[in-house]
Amino acid sequence: MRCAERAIGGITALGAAVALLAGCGDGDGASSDAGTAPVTSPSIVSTVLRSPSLRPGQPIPTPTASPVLTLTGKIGITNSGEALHLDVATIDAVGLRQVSLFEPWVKKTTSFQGVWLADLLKVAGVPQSAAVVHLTALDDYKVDLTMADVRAGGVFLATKTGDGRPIPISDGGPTRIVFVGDVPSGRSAGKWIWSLQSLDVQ
Amino acid sequence: MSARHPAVPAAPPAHGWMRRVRRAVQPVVAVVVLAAMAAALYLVVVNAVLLGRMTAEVQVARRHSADLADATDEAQLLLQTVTQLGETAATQDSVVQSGLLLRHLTVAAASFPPGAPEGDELREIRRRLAAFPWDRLQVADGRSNPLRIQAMALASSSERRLEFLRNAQEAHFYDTTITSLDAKRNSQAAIGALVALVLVVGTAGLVGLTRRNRGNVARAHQALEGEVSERHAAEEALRASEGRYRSLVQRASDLTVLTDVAGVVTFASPSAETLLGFTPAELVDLPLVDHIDHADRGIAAAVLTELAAAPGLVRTVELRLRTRDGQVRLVEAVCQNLVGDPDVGGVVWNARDVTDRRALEDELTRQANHDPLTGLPNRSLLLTRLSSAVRALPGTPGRAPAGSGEARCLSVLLVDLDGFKSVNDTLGHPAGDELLMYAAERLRACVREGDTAARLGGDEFAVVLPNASRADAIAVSRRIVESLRRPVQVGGQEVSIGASVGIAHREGQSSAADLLRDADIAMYVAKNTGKGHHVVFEPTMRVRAARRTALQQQLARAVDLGEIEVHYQPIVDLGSYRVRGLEALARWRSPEGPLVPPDEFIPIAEETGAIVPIGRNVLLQACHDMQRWRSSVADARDLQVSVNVSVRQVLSGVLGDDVADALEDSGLPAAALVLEITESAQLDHPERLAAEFARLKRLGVSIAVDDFGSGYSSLSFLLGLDADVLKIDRTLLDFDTTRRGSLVQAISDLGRTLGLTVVVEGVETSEHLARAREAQCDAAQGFHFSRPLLPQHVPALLAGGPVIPFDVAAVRRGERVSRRA
Repeated sequence: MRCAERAIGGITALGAAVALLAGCGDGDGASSDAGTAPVTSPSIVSTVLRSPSLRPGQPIPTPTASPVLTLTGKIGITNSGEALHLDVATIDAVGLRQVSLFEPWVKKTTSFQGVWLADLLKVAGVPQSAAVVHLTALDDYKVDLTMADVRAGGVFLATKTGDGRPIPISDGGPTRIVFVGDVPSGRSAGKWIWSLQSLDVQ
Repeated sequence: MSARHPAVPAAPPAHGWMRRVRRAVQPVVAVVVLAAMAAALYLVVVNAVLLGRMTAEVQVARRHSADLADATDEAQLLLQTVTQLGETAATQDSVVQSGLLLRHLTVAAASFPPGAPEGDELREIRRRLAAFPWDRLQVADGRSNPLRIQAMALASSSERRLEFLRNAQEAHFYDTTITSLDAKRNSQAAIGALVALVLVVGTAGLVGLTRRNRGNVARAHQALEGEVSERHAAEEALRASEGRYRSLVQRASDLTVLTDVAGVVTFASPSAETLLGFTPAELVDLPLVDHIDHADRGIAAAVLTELAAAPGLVRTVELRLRTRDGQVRLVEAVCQNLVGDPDVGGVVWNARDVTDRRALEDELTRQANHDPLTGLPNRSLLLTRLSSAVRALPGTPGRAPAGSGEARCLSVLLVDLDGFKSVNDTLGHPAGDELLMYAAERLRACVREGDTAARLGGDEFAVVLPNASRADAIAVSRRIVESLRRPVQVGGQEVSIGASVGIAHREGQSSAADLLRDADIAMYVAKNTGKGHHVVFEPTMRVRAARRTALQQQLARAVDLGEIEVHYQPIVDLGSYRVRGLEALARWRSPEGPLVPPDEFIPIAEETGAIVPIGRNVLLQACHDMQRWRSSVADARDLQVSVNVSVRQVLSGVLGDDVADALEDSGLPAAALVLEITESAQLDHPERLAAEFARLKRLGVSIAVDDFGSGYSSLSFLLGLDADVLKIDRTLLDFDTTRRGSLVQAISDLGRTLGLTVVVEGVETSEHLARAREAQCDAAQGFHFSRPLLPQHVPALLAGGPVIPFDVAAVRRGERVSRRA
C-alpha cells in the first residue's frame, strides 16, 4: 500500500517534470532582442585598412562621384541644403575597416569593407541628443536603430566587398548595414538592411 | 487510504469481506491508473515533440513565404519599371530594380535547405535574370524594341514562377500543419484523460501525501494546464493560417484546379467563376478537358499522361480555355503531380489568365516585325523567315539538273516599283504612301499562303517563296509585274507605275543574305534593261554588279582626280566639207589605265548623281578649249561646240548656273555653245525640261535634240523645246533599203520645215555619206570624217581646211587617227 502510494507520488512527479520539459521545448526559439545588452562584446573585431582622413568637425564637400547615401535630420554638417550627400570615397574617409561576419540571409561567412556607422554619424555631426536613426533602402524597406545601439558598437556600414570592389545591388549594394560580433542590435536578421538609400537621424 | 481506518472503526464485522475486497482491489486500481497515466504521458511527450517541430516548421514556412512574397513584389516592380521605361522610369531604374530582385532571390534561395527543389528553381530564375543586359535597355527604345519585349517577358515569367513557388509553399505549409493538427486533436482526448486522472489521483491521495508530493502535483497540474492552453493557442494559430491560406486562394485571380490523374476535377478555386464563368461546383466531378479548347486538348492530355507517370513532376503549358459564354481565354498553367502527397492526392493546375498580356506581347512583336504603313512584314521579319526557310531546306549540291523545272526550291523575288519617285515628287508624299498601300495589297494578292511578301523600305518589296518550282516563281513574278502595271487612283489622279522584279533561286549552300543580294542584282538588271519585267539571277551578273560597284566608287572621285577627259569629234558641213562645229565627248581615263567607254560609265554616273559634277567639268573644259581655238585658229572664229547634257543635270536645277558660269569663265559667246539632249530621255518631265531649256535659251545658247529617231519620237516635245538643231540617230543610216533610206530624208525634211539645222550622226561609210547628202542634211559627223580627237590634235584639224572623208575601215584597222587634205 505504502509502496503503491510512493509509486503514484513518484509518477506524478515524473509526469510533472516531463510536462515541464515539454513546455520548455515549445517555447524554444522565441528569444527576443529585448534582453539586456552585454556589457562587453569580445567578438567585435575589425582590421583598420586606412586611418581616418575625415574627422569630426571638418566640413564635407559635395561628392565628386555619384552619391550613394543621403543623411538628413539631426546632423551638424550638410553639403546640399538640409542634406548630406555622400559618395563611397567620402564614407571610407571616416576610417576604412575590414570585417568578417556570418551573413544570416545568405547563411555564409562574408567579409566586407566599410566604416563603423557610429564613426560616420560622429563625422556628420550627430549630437548626443539624437535618439534614433531611420534607415531607408532603395526598395523602401525601413529599419530603425537606436543611437544607443549604434554607439554601443558593432553596427557597420559596408561600402565594399571583402576584396575592395563595389557591392553590386544584387548583393545588397551599394551600401548596407551589417552587424559585427553577436551584438544584440543585430540578432534580428530584419535589422540587416541592404541597398541603403538614406539615413534620417532623430 | 490507511489514514481513513480510524474513521470507520464501527463497521460491522459482516463487512470484513468488503475490506478484504478493497485491499485486494486497491493495488489493481493503482496499476490501472498507473498504466493509463503512463499511456497518456507517452502521448503528451510525443505531442510535445510534434508541437516543437511544428512550431519550427511554422517559423521556417513563414520565413519562406515572406522571402518569396518579397521577391514576387520585386519582380512585379521590375515588370512595371520596364513597362514604364521612357515615361516614368529610366534605364538606371531597371538596373536598380533588377539588382534588388536578384538580391531577394539570393536570400530566398539561401533560406531553403541545400538540394531543395525550390532553391534550385530560385537559382534558375536568378541565373536567367542576371544574364539579361538590363543596362542596355534604352529609354529611347520604342515599345517595339525586341530587347524590351524580351525584358518584359523575362520579368513577367519570373514573377509567374515566383508566385507559383509562393502558392505551392503556402499550400505545403497549410497541408503539413493541418495534418499535424488532426493528429494532435486525436490525442487531445488522451491529454484530457491524463489531466483528469492526475487530478483525481492527486485529490484522492492529497491527504496522505507529504508537502513535497503536494508541491509536485501542483506543479504538474500547472504544467499540464499550461500545456493545454498552449495547445489551444497553437490550434488558434493554425486556424488563422488556414484562414489566411483560404483567403489567398479565394483572392487570387489565378485559377487553381485539382484533378485526379484521369483529369477529373476534384477541386476548383472560386476564381473559376471570374475566369470561366463556371462556379467551382459546376467544374467538380467533370473532366477538366471539357473546358479546354479543342485545339489544345491534345496538349492537355499529353501533359496529363506525362505527369501521371512521374509524381512530383512540374510542367508549364499554355492552354486555351473556353468560358461559359464561348470566349477563349489563354492561360499559362503550371501543373504538378502531387498524387503521392496524401494531403493533395491529385494533380494541381495553377492557371493564370495571360490573354491580355499575350495580346499585348503579340501586338508589340507584330509592331516590331511589320511595316506600319502597309502592314506587310518588314525586313527583319523577312530575314527571319528567309533564314528559317534556308535552314529548313538542305542545300542542293549545285545547279539543279536540266529538266528539273518542276523541282521545288526556295526563291526570293525582289520587287522595285518603277516610277514611284516621280509620283512622290509630283503628287506628294501622301499620294506616294497611298500608292505603296495599293502596291502592297496587290503584292499580297499575288502570293500564296506560306509565302512571305514584305516591304524592305522605300518602294522596295520582297517575296519569299519557300517551296515553289522555278516555273512557279517566274509565274508569280509575271503576276506581280502585270498586277502592278494596272493603273491606280491616288491623290485624285490615275497613276500608272510598273515593277521590276529580280529573281534568285537557291543554289548550293547560298545563305539568306546571298539570296537577297542576288535577287537585288537581278532586279537592277531588270531596271537597266527596260524596266517592267523580271530577270532571273545568273552568276555572271554578280561579276558585272561587282564591276559596277567598283566603277561607282571610282567614278565618284574621277572629277577630283582629273580623270575625266574631253575629246572632240568634228561636225562637218556637207556643202563645204569644212568643220562647222565640234562635239565634246566625255571620256574617263580610269585608274586602271584604259579609257572607259561613255556608254558604260554615263548610265552609272546618271544613277549615282556623279553626272552633275562630270557634266559641269566637261562643259567648262569645252568652253575653254573652244574659246582658245576660236581666238587662235584663223578658220575657227565661228565654230560652235556641242556639249551633251543629261536629264539629271537639267533637273538638278543647277545647269543654268553651270552654263552661265562656264561662259563667263571662258569668255565664249553664248551663241557658240550648243547643248545636246537625248531625245529618249525627254519624256519623264516634259514641263520641267521645257522650262529649264527656255531659261537656257534666254542665255543665248542653242539647243540640239540628240539621237532623234532612236526612242519615242515626240514632235510636240521637239517643238516645245524650241530646239535649233536636230541630230538624226546613227541607226537610221544603216537601213539600206530605199524605203528606209527615205526615213532619213523624211526627218531631214521635217527638220528643215521646222527651221532646224539637221545633222546626221554615225556617218562611217561613203554609202552613209551619199545617203546624208541625198537627204539634204546640213552637216554630218562620224568616223568617215574623223573619230573623236584629243584636244591637242584639234587645232591642226581646224587649220587644215576641208575634211576629206576616208574609209572608216582604215581607222578601224588602227592605221591612223585622221587625215587631212
